[in-house]
Amino acid sequence: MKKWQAKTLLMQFASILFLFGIVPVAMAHTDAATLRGGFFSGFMHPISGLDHVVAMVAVGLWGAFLGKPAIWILPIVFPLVMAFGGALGVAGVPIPYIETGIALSGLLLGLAVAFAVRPPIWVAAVIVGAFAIFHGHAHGAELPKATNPLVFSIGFVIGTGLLHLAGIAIGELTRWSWGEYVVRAGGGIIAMIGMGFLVGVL
Amino acid sequence: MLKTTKVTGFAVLFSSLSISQNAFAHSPIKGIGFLFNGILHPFFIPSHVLVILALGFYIGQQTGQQTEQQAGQQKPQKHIVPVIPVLFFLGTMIVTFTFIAFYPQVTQFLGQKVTYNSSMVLLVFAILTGLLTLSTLRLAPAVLSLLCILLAVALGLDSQAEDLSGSAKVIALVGNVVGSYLMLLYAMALSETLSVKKWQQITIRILTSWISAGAFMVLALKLSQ
Repeated sequence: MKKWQAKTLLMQFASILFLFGIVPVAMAHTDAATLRGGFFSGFMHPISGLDHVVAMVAVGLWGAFLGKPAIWILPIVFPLVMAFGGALGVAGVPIPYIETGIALSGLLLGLAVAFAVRPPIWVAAVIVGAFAIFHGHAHGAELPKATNPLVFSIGFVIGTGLLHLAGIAIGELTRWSWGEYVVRAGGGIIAMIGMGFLVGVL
Repeated sequence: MLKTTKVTGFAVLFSSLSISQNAFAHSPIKGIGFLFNGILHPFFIPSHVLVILALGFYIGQQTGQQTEQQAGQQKPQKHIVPVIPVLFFLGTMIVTFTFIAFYPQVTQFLGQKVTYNSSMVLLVFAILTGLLTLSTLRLAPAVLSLLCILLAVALGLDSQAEDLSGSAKVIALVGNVVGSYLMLLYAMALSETLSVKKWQQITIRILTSWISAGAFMVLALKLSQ
């Protein structure tokens, strides 16, 4: 019974979120008037950039690879520190080598998965958090241009979280013996993509 | 509480879907009346949605934890914790809207003379409440009640319905209270229901971390402007 209730409530919550996207709102409130464009613009921002995508998926992969509690700590650390990076971006605080940092995040996180690096959880959180600042700064720079900054930021935080979730889902293949090779191979591909961005091939 | 909340959740969803095909070109939404406009108002203001969801998730999380702890006791006091804070939330919203409807000079004074930026205050509340849920920190009932009161005042002052007057304004504000209250109950029910298994608790904590992260960046943007 409890399981059914949880599923029903989750489905309702997902329906409400979906409504936010599809309802053509044009009420008096300025926030509401731009609800649709802002959310989807933000949602698509991390998804439409391959350099962001591989890094976010790598965070999820690494979290799943490291097991509990990293599987949920890393995807929580990333958006929170990313928000700090975003705040630096909107405040105009310059951070050098943003694009290099983003490319490095894909490369190093991919290598960590590929070589099955298993550091203590706090080390993994610091590494992921450091890279999150670069990603957040890049997103934050777009925030003032958004039609509605709040729904834009919620959109890209959700987009980022779902990419982590995709990584975790793939990382769950490590439950099987053959799955570890698949996940590590995925890490290798991510590292190569990161390298491609770093040297300017992609 | 859960059954009632699910029914109201479906009702709100149905209302949202049924009005989506109607004319949205004007404000307020034509054809559904001031009451339903008021009910839907908090659902369409992102900062209101975030802060109410964050508060509901927090209260539901605390209730779920307490229920779990009391499961072994002979007389579990289920739902004791949230009743008083939630009543404070509801009562304060009613009082605030009463002032807005009948003594607008008071709330105008707050808006003009006192340095008050309602949207920024709501963002701060969203960040704090989100972090509270993320940390699973337990607040004393008195502190939680105070948080509910402050949040209800902030929500009320951000929903002054200046373009309405007379009975239309009162009806719209009544609808706003109903909508905000339903959303709070719904979030509480969701959070409490998702407090049984570890992954469910983590889901709620991740959702609130997203709320805090999004609100933090927009607060930084507003402060920088």
